[in-house]
Amino acid sequence: MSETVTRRTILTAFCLASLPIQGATKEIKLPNRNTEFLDNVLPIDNEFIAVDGWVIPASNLVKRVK
Amino acid sequence: MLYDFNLLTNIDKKYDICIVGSGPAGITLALNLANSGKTVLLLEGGGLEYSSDSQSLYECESTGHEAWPKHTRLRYFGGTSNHWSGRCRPFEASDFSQRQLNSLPGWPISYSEIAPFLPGAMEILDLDVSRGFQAINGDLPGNHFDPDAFAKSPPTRFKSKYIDQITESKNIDCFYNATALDIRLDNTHQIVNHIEIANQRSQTISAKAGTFILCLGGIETPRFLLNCNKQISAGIGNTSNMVGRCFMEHLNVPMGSFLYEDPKEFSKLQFFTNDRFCESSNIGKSNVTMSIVNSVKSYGRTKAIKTFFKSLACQMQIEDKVQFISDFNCPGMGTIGTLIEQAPNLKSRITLSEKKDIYGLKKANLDWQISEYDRRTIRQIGLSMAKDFSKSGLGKIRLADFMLDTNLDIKYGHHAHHMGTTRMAEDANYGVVDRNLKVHDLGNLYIAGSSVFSTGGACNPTMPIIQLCLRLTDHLTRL
Repeated sequence: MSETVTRRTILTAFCLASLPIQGATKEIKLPNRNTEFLDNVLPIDNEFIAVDGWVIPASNLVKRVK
Repeated sequence: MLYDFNLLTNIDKKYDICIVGSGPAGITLALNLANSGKTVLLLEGGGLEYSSDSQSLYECESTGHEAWPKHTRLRYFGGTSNHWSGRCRPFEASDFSQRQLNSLPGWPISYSEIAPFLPGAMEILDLDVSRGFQAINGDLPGNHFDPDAFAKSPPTRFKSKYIDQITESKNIDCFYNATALDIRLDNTHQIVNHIEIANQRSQTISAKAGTFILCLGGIETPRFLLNCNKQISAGIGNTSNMVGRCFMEHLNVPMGSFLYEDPKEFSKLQFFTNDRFCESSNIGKSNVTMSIVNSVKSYGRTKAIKTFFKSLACQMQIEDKVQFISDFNCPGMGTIGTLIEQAPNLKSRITLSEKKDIYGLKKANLDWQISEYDRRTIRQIGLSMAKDFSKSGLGKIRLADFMLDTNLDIKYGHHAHHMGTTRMAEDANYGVVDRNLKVHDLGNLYIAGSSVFSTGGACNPTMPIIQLCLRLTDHLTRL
C-alpha cells in the first residue's frame, strides 16, 4: 500500500461509493412541512390548540395557513 | 421541666394529659394546656438534636408512588418544624363544604369552627396578624384562578422558640429519648389506661394520664395505632379498618414550561384555583407557581460537581439530551410547579410491613396512590392555566406530553405533607376521629396533626394543624 493511501482515504472512498447504492435502493421522501406540522397539532377547544405542547390561540394557526 | 429519659427509671406521677410527639402539634398543645392549668407529660422519641440512629427509625417500606418518608420528617425535639419552609395559607370555607370525594365524606365541621383560632395560630407561627395573607401578583383572565394570597413564617422552629418555655413550665414534664411502644386499654377496651414507653436502653416504663393525645404525624400515628395490637388484633381505633387509609399528599406536578413576553415584569407568579372553577369542573384545588429560573441548582454532597456539569449542559444547549440522568432547569427557563389537592382514596394507605425496628415495632408500608379524580384535577388545572396565561399576554405555556395525552402516566412528586390517615368523620365507618379529634369508641384518646384532615385542600398544613390544636385545647379545657 502506498504511503499516500491512508485509512481515511479508504473509508472516504467507500462512503462515496456507497452513496449511489443507497440512493438507488431507498426511496427519497421530501419532507412535507405542512403534514409534519399538523401531526403535532392537538385541538383543545374552539379557542385553543396545542402545537408541540405549546398552548396557543387557534387563530394563530389560521393566520399561518393563510 | 426537660428530662433525658435514658437517665430515668420510673415516672411515678399521673398527669392530666399525656402528649406523644413534640412537633408543632405536640408543643402547641403542651404549652396551651399547661397554661390552662393542666399537668402535661410530653414525650419525644428522638433526642434534642438530629441523630442518624433516631432518624433511621423513620425508614418505611414503599409499595406505591415514592414519597420519601424517611427524609421528609425529622425525629427529634421540634419534629418536622426543624426543616419546614414556612409557607402559610389558611383553609377556606369551601374546604369544609359537605362534598363527597371518592365516595368519602368531607370535613364534619364547618369553617367557622376553626376560623376563630386563626389569629392565635398566626401568632404562634410568627406571622403578622394585621398584615394577613397577601398575593404577590395580579389577576389572570379566564376566571379560573385568583392571585394566591399567603404569608411566610420566618419559619418558626418550635424547638428553638419554645424549649425554654417548656423547660421552665411547672406544669410540663418533657421526656426526650422516650419512644412510645404500646397503648394499654382498661378491661372495657374503651379507656386508655397507660402508654408504655422505652428509652434507648430498652427499659420500659408506664406513663399514666387522664387523657392521651397522639401527635406523631401522618405516617407514625397510624403506624403506632396499628402496632398497638396486643389487646385488639386490628389495632387501636381501627374498628372500621380506617386507620392508615386515605393517605394524601399535595401533588407537585411538573406541568411544563413557559415563555414570557417580558422577563422584567416578574420572576415568580402564584395563582390559586377559585371555588367557582373547582365546583363547576368537579376538581380539587391547587396552587400554581410559575418561576423564572435564575441559576442552575443542585443538592447533596457533590453539589459543586453536579452544578458544574448541569451549567455546562445548559451552555452547550444539550440539557434535553442529558436530563434523563438528572432533572434540572437552565437559567432563563420558566418552570411551573403545583401544590394540588389530592382527594381521599381508600386504596392510598399505610399498613404494617413484616420488618421490625429495634424496639420490635413493625415498620410502616406506604402505598401512595392517586385516583382518577386526581388525574382529572391535574390535567384540567394545567389546560386552564395554559389558556388563561396565553390570554393574559404574559407569555405562553408548553404542557408536558402527559398533560395532553391521557394514555400517558402523569409525573408527580410530593410536598412532604402527609395527611388523612386517621381522618375526621362523624360516622366511624369513614374515619378514625370524631369532630373533637377523639378516637371513635375510645373515651380518652385524641389525635392531633395532619393525619386527621378529612380533605387536604391546597394549603400548607402547618397552620391548620395549629388551628386544630388550639381548638382541641379549648375543647379539653371545657371538659
